[in-house]
Amino acid sequence: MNSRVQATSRQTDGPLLKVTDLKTHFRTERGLVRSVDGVSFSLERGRALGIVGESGSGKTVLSRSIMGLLPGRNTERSGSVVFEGEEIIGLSLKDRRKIWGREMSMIFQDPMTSLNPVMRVGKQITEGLKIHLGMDNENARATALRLLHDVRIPEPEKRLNQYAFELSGGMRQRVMIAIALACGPTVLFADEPTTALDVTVQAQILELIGEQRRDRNMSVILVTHDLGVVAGHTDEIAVMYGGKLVEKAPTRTLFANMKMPYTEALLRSIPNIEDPSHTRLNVIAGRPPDLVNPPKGCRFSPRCEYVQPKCIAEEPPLLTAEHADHVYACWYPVGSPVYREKRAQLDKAKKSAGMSQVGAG
Amino acid sequence: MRYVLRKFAQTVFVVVLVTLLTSVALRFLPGGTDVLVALKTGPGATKEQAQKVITDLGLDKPWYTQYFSWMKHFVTGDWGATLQSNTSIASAVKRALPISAYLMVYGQLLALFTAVPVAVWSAYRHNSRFDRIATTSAFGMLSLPNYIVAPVLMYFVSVQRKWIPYPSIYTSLFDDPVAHFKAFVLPSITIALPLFAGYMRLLRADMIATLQSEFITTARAKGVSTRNILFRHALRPSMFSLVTATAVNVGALMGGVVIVEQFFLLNGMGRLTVESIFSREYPSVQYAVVVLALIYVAVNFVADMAYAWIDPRVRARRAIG
Repeated sequence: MNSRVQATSRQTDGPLLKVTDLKTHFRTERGLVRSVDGVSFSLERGRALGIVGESGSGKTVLSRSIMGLLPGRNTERSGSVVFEGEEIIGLSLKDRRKIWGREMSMIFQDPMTSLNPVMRVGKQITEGLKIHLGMDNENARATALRLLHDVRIPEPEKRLNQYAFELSGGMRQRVMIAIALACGPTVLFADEPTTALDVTVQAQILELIGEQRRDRNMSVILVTHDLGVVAGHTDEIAVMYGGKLVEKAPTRTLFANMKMPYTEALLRSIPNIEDPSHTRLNVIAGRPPDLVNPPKGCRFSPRCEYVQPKCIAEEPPLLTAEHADHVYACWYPVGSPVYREKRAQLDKAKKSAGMSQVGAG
Repeated sequence: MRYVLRKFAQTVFVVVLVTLLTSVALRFLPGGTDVLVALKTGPGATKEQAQKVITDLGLDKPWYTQYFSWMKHFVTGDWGATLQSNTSIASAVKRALPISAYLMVYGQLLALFTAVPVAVWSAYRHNSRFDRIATTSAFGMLSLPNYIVAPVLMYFVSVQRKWIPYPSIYTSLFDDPVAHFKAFVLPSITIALPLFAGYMRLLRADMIATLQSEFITTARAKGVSTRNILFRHALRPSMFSLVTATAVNVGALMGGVVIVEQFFLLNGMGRLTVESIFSREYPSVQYAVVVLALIYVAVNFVADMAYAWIDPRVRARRAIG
């Protein structure tokens, strides 16, 4: 509509990023894969949102779809993504390119493969600076040096002339972050930024992202399968399942009062360090739903421990919990009478199963 | 640097091997030295005449002495005369070599400069109509032998349209560039056609794989233009097979030019070699072969250097391993 008028009054009111009923479907030989199936949320400037889900829940597709990065011909995208007051769905490639790297940028899961193997690190950083900010070689180099310094890379001068294979995994991810931060984006998408890294490096990288977010008043969308990762580094968490948002709440509220059995199952699947060794992992039985023919009712129902007939028959809408900023999609949420009854049954069964095992041994 | 030295040492080793084999090759002729003597002096040679031929060719000395004296002659350009017509072998090779070199270089350049953009675009829009037409016609070109392409080209361009006279006479590039290129247009196209097809398909396949890489998404997410993604980010890591094929094809072309030179009446190395073989001019064959072999070795050395230029990991890996 009058996007130009709105564009001039950027950053005045409303959220930085507003996603409404975003759908991203891929046409394949098997049929239409509904990877993202009607997701809505909004994000304020400077805030961090965690998007959590298993592999195949659509979280990666969601983040790439918001940026408009997905390859075009077999992709159907609908809904609305309003960024700084401007609708960015339907923008031409040329206009999207102006956003990429400049307004929104992304870091990826595997820093081994997401850096160009045959291009010097320095050139990969300065490239964006030259494109978006029109810097000359000298300025771009100086800025790249400062960026490497910001992401705490030792001997930045030397690194500029190195190739990705000459750096460690953590260092590579730092370079990726430097590339992503180069042009001062307002939104940073971090797609499983620590999954491929050593555990000791993971915390450092998350710390670095958080620090840069505060320094630059930048919004961060942290995509991960690990609730532990988002716990300390986000303001809000959105849980995705089967291409849909199934629960969303401020981080504290979510951990204190999760409603969706899927969220609960995700949390319970994190092994606890205080458990004795050889404790059985709490896995979520079954597999993520087929996104060509998703289950009719609640998409989690085939795997849900607390499943009821209504869950299979009817898809639950997004309901609001006690707090207005906490939404969830479940007929019998955690804490409801039906849930409690089922939980008691399950615990009893587990206990007796444990007993019989002891008896048999 | 260590990589360069290593490759250079390998190259020197191959050069020694090639020259060694060539230098002693005359010892293994069917019919032995008698054939050489007969060719040189005609029937009914005296003992002295025969002995002189053998001494001139160094066949009376042990093989290592023969190798060194042969190498000395080879390096100084004193290659002796042909057996039958007593003309200088060195000047014959010197006349023929540039013709073949031009032909191969033009053929390769033509193939590469057309194949790269077509392959890049085909890979970027694979399964598009452009891609399908390009891949299918490349397949067709691969199955066209040059002895079909050459006369067809000749017929349409020289006979029917009379655009380029036939036979075109070789002229030096520096004397008359227009005449020079006129002489080489059709033979170069004949050579380039199957090369183009091969290069195009190789590069296309590698490019498609590279374009799926995560670092291409990184580049896109940075806002890099499509053109720069294709040519600055994707092309270089996709060039390995292309470089290998280009180098290997130099060898194949040495055989291929024989036919093409014959068709277009260009007196290049191919014709020289074949005629020398038919007239049993063994020393000429010897020198022609060694010159071609050395060129091949040199080209492969350059290809090794190109790998290192393309991918810094090659340098590092070899230096460690």
